[in-house]
Amino acid sequence: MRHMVKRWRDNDVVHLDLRGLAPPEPMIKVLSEIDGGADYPIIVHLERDPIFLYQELEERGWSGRLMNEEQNNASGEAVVMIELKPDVTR
Amino acid sequence: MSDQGPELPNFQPEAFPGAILAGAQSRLIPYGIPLRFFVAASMFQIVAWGLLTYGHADVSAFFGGYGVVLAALHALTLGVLAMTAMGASYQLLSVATGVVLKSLLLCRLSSWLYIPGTGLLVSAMFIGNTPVMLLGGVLAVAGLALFGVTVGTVFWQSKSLQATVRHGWVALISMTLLVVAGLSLIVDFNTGFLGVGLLPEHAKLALSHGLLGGYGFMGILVMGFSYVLVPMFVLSPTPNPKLAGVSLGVNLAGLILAIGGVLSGNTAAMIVAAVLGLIGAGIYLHLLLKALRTGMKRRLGLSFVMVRASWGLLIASIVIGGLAAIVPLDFNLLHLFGFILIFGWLLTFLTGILQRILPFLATMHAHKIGRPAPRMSEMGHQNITLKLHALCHGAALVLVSLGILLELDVLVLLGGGFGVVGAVAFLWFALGVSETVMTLYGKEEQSK
Repeated sequence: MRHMVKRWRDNDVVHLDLRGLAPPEPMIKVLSEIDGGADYPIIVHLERDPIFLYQELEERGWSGRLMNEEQNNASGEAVVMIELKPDVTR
Repeated sequence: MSDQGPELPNFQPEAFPGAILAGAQSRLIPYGIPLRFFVAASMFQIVAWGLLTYGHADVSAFFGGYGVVLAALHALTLGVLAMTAMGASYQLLSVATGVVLKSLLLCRLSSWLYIPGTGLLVSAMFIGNTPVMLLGGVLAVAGLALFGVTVGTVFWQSKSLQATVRHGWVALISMTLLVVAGLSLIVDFNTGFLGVGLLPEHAKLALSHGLLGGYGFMGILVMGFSYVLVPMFVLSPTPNPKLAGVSLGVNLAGLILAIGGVLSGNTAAMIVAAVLGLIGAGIYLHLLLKALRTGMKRRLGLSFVMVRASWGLLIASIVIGGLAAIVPLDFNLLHLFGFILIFGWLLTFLTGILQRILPFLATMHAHKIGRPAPRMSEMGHQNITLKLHALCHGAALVLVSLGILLELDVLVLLGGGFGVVGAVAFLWFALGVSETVMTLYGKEEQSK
């Protein structure tokens, strides 16, 4: 079964809902967005904390942080804020 | 698409970064657990090559029985290959599937049983003491049983990574048959119960035990893990799970046929098994080479040079294994087959992957405690350690293979020596990466 990626904009922030995709597809979608020239904050909706993603973001000058740590396990959704680091310019 | 996003739960922008990433803690197990397996594996690699060097004159003449060659084989299979698989499985399966390990005590207990048990077993094989061999074997099997229960629970609960999970189940079944055969072989050293009635002869069961270990337990486990690890490291889409399933089915049919052929002495079955093995391995390699071609990461470094080399050695092992079934024993193809399977394909693959996993785990732990992550390429003195390891490992494979084929013990001696140097370099790397993480945790403790 192929899952659709939901993408929407809320003010200056782009949301990506990547739930339902098998690893490492969510990571690839996020990195494709960044490598495609993004310079805006991105909020990613996932099924779990993307541990492997953080190092990749670091290497690209971006930072990622889990925003709903406490609910993560209970709700089955991890919401991650991804931003270009302040000292990095596009 | 919608214009409004969902309300964000518990937004805490000020809590960056350590506390926020603590959500990973439930799946990032204490560093000491995988580390003890990886360091033990690195040490056993030195022991394995060391024993092979010491027993260089016995390698080409080995036809079973305890002694230095049997000890070298098990130092590598149990001490390095299975040891690495256990450490990697405990950490990576949980992270990749999202299933939280229920009990870390089982992981710790398995290490307390398995690591000394393997040491005891290898030592007893070297000196030829059957009771101690049995004691070491039982301890190691108990450790493996706990490993089986732990990862089996993860497989059972996992709703994703079906290709890896299916491979995992086949590997666990192979492991069960493997340990039954292994313990039977140890008991047979003293009792001689094998070969009576319907029971298989010792030599045939030993070869089946080797096939179950090399292609069944470790081989299938390695293939299953490849479908997660390779796409993760190269950032490619997940390989087609249906094709991965076909590869598993063909490989399994080949393995069953090979063991049946060995036990019944049916050469035709062994040849068909080799052909099936080539088809199964071909599909597996097709999927992973496609992942390499389509991956977002192009510069994959030395680790993937090792991984690519190991894939060539996988094919070589099957071809040599098939030829060994039809060529007279004088040509030492059976010995070469065992060496290329274990020291070639499996050891090359696992050391190639481990040199990525160790720094990767280190950076994840750095994130976990909110410390700046060191660059992966700067950990473990890689410019010296990993290059030295790769060069020596390659030289060792070539020299020992030639030594076996040409029955030149001096080449086995030389190759074994290169293997020891490479293994020492790899341990240096593993300890260097561990030191980085320990330093990070030390700073964390001091800052509290």
